[in-house]
Amino acid sequence: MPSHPTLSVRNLAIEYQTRRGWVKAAQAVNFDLLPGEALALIGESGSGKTTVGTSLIRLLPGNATISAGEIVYRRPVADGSATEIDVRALDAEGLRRFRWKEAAMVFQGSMNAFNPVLRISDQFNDTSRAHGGPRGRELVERGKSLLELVRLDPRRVWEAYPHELSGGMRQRVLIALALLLEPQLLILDEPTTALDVLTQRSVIDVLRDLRKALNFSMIFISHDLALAAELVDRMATFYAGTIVEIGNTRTLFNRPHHPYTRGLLRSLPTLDSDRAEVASIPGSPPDLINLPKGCAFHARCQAAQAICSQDMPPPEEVAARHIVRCHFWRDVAGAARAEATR
Amino acid sequence: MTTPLISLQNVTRTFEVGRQSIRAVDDVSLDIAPGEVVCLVGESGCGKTTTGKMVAGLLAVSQGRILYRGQDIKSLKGDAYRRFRLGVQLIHQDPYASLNSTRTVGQILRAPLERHGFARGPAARARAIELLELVNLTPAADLIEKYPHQLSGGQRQRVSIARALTVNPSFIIADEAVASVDMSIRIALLNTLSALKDKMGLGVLFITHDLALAKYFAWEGRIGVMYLGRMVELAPARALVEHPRHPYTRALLSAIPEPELEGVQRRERIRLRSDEIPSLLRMPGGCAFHPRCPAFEGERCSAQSPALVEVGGGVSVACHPVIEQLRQQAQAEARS
Ligand SMILES: Nc1ncnc2c1ncn2[C@@H]1O[C@H](COP(=O)(O)OP(=O)(O)OP(=O)(O)O)[C@@H](O)[C@H]1O
Ligand SMILES: Nc1ncnc2c1ncn2[C@@H]1O[C@H](COP(=O)(O)OP(=O)(O)OP(=O)(O)O)[C@@H](O)[C@H]1O
Ligand code: SF4
Ligand code: SF4
Ligand SMILES: [Mg+2]
Ligand SMILES: [Mg+2]
Repeated sequence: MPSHPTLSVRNLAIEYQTRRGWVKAAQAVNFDLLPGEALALIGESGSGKTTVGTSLIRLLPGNATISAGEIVYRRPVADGSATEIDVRALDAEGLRRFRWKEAAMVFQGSMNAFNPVLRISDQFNDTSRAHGGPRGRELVERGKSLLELVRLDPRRVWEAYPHELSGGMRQRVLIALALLLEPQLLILDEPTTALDVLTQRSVIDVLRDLRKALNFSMIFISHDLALAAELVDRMATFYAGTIVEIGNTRTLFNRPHHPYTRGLLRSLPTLDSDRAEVASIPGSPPDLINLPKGCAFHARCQAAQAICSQDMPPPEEVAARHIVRCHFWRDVAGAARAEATR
Repeated sequence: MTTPLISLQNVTRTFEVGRQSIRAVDDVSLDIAPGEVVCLVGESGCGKTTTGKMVAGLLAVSQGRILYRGQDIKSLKGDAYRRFRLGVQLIHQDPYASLNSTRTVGQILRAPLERHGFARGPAARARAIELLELVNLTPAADLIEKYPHQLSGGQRQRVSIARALTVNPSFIIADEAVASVDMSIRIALLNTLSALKDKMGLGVLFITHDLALAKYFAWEGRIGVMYLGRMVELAPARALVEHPRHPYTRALLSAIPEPELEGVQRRERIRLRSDEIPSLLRMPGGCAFHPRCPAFEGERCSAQSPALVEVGGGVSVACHPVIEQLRQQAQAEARS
């Protein structure tokens, strides 16, 4: 029996209340994350990745509601079993103990959310104090060594104000901060966006090493697919609030079974690609308030047939731990294989 | 030769950090023609954003000058200044801080349209919707009512792009402006900018970390590589990616992750002599890259800072042995 998943998400649905109606930002989201496993959430901008990530530590904005589903977190205990935490049921005190210590998140764009009048050292101090972390000299030592881990010069950065650091430097400070209380689950929302390749590479190397050493599980939200592919074991493609495909990284990259995943990969330029080989997916993202009937991708899908605008495709396990939501995944997979061997 | 749209001439920018002064941008020269795309790449903190802000007039130069259509932007007054401020638009690296959170997307887009007399009332609303559709934000009628905090990261970023386009600029500085959207939308946005470039002669300074994307977008244009404030290589886009000259450019290219596609040959990674991040506070003497450079040649590299030299084919590079080698090659060819 494999170990208990660190995280199990079941049928999760999240909605935002707006003037025009309810935005269905997530629906029927399902996945498991094993201890030490890394999962990337990829997919369309506005498809619910941040929403799902944020819900895992219950930091959704005020107009959001988790309308259905379960979020179960498990902390392993000595005898091989695990303590279960029902994240949806946590009260304020429970949440305070859960965040940072069990699960920490680096938010999308948070490199700009630093309090401008606080030095980096103060940010470490505040976080540590609020969540029962190290104090005094121990904090300084741990903080500085974490900065070194993300390849920053503590002599320059520890006492610096946020505006004195470039975007990439601030992003790395945040990753260091998230690791301060040694969480079991690390959620990173676009942590390498806008970083140069060498810095991205070092962040990835750092995360990979840390994960090996500390064995935490990780959720990595990213639009940099090639980079994510180097780091994670599994990938989940989001479209219109749901996971349309989830599987092992290599499978997803080499044998995508869902037309949206395929389209996304076709729009990925590589250093060798000719301009004409790269193409974006025609059409526009669907309206999440009035979701189209059937498969949400049908208006843009080249493989669509009549049934696609009628019935929502159910999730099907096409191979072990490879799940796809598409009526015609067999045809799509066949076409992908033909293309790969061309 | 036509006057460049934007011309940087020996531009330097220093900052005071504590008691020290750092050169965030050091002696950078670059001309950009109407309808041209120049991509700027380089390590975090190498001065890309600082360069972009100076071109947009948001940050003063410490030395050198920047010309807009042949005129020093420092000397612009009245109408000429107004034309510059509208003509040159910066799309910020960060879509989170750059949008006013108390206004709806519609208000954000209509304000510049009305303030600068491009459109009013219903016409402004119609133009706002048109711009949202141009950047793939649909349904536009829905988004126009939302506040920035109700948008995803990539949606916000596209609002910034739409806002920059409200005033029909002739030059856009896009600082990692498509980094927060998915690949498909990234390509669609770049195609939109390309169309504006072809149709209206829009010039673009495109700051990005993604060299594959830079090659795609700047296909006919150029890529400049910066290292610790200096331009170390500037070349036609495809030439730079396919035949990189500078050791730093080579290292950058070799570090790019490539999808593990079956049948694709993986590039060999070039190891640097040191992984230590360079710091502007302790600038190495000579060539700033020398402590990490795999092609390091001793004395010459650690003592003399190489100048950016044109080596033919529109390629400029700042590296002693590379320049020497290319010179010898050219001489040998001339003799034979
Ligand atoms: N506070 C909010 N109120 C109303 N709608 C919201 C709110 N926050 C997000 N949304 C909407 O919910 C949807 C999902 O947003 P989310 O931020 O989860 O997307 P994402 O997949 O992370 O996108 P990106 O890749 O662009 O960051 C979007 O359509 C967005 O407009
Ligand atoms: N206001 C400031 N005060 C002091 N130093 C600054 C200031 N603004 C920028 N710097 C420094 O100047 C250097 C260049 O910064 P810049 O933001 O231009 O880098 P960048 O190339 O855009 O980096 P990134 O890819 O991380 O965005 C950095 O070392 C940064 O710390
Ligand atoms: S279910 Fe139909 S519309 Fe949806 S992805 Fe599959 S083929 Fe395309
Ligand atoms: S000048 Fe010397 S140290 Fe600098 S890049 Fe060239 S070989 Fe490397
Ligand atoms: Mg997001
Ligand atoms: Mg920058």
